[in-house]
Amino acid sequence: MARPRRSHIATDCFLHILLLMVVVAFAFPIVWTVLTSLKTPLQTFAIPPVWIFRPTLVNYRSVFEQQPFARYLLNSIIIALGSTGLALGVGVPASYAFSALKFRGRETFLIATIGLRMLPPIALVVPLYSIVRSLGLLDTHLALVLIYAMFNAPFVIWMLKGFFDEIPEDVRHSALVDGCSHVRVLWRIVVPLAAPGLFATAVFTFILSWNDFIFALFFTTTKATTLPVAVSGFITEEGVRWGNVGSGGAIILLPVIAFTLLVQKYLVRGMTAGAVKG
Amino acid sequence: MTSAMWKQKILPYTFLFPAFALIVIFLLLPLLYSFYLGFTSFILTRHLGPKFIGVRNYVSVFFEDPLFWRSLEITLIFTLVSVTLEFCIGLGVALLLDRVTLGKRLVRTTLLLPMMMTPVVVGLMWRFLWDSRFGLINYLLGLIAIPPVQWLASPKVALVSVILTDVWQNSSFAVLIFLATLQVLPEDLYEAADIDGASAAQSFWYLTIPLLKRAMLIVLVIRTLFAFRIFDTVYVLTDGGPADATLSLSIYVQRIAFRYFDLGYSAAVSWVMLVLCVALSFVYIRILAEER
Repeated sequence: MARPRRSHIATDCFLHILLLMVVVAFAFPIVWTVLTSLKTPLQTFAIPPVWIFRPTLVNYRSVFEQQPFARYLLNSIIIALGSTGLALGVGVPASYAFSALKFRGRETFLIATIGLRMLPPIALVVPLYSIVRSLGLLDTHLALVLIYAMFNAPFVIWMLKGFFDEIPEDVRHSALVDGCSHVRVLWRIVVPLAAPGLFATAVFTFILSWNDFIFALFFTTTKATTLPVAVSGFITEEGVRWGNVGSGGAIILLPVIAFTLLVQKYLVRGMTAGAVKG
Repeated sequence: MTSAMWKQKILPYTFLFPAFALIVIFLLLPLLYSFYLGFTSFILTRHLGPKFIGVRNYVSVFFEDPLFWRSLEITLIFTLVSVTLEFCIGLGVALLLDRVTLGKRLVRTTLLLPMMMTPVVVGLMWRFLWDSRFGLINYLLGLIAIPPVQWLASPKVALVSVILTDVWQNSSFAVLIFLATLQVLPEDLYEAADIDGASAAQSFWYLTIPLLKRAMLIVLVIRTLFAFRIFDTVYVLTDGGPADATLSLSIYVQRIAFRYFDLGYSAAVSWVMLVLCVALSFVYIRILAEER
């Protein structure tokens, strides 16, 4: 938004310095964590802090050696991928129905769906715990896959609906007139046309599952433990193992940051899912 | 009705079925079950199953449980202060970013990262920064001769640290929403205002602010709902301590259920929390409905 303004060099300078300070404040904690992950224990606790040092991978090695971190990493990947697949699997047809079909209760269902997303997860933890336990699914991948898929389905429905709505009605209509069924229209026309949107939705769903802590904390003990729960375990009776927090944290954040860059252009839609158009 | 018509009629519902089956089994059933549990006494270590006791739990929540009220107060203070700060910082940074052109893409990306980050990792990162002995914040304060502060160990300061941690992570969201709106504001309006001799302050107050109204509502409502349920960050920063100074409602529910194993009572507190969230959601849904 380039508005005609009398621009003063002094104000410009000031604004840039201010922005630089803001950027440092936003980026610094992340940078500090990565630096910590590359330090020896001695350097980690040095006061004054060490800024320049020879990086070591000792913290990365120790998280994998001291506990089954590789397995937790694998658990996180399996669960996030599985729940993303399931959430999209149930979300795609539902979004299509909301976007392209007319039926009784459409508005009510749609509004109810977004309402569900607003419920605090802790309120679900206790009753879900009983249900998961009676199904014999405690500490399994399947339990978390199902729960994350359920919890993210409303998000998927709303975000996808936005993308499906953008496909011109005529495209669908002419296919229907030609005798295609709705299922065929969805698979052959709508899904390919909305592919970038589907991909962005999948990435967001993956990050939401990947980041979850609350369900994984209560529904896993050893076998299905995910990374966020594993790093929270670095807070021990004898103190916090900061080096490992740094390396474990960096491992968790890497895909999050990479994926965020990948879908940057869809951030507004992803973060508001339905509340803001485009 | 012919079978083709019948098919046409139920088709939408078959499309919805898988999603709604999942939601009913893993969301609505648990909610109903928890509603039932709220009227029972069910302590895992003492009872074999839930025993119906009517509204006893709710009477306790409202009239006999000072910790519930304290927790509600802490949650409300947390929500109010952090959402207000995030709103102001977000608006300020978005306006700044809108004016500045140097390295725009990189700056934008950096500013948007925190809100996507794993909350547990954010909590742990900040726990290290807040650490009273080895933390960087006390070190930096020491450079300007400010004595070390017990950021997480002092009941007076802990909530402030938790709030600032949340503000760091979630101001991003406000920046994102405000920036998205600022970038599509109609330029000709500003040109017209300029020609009519409006000052920069006037066009900000009479044009920008009203045009941002929707973005403001979205930021306030979404952030309020998510701040109200805060769990992960608090859990790793303070676990509700010291002396319950940061006991958010989510942490309190967790503590009743998994430390005291009192499922009945925790269900009742959950439902109070749910009702408060639903009330907030209605505001959100009203905004949505207005737009449609």
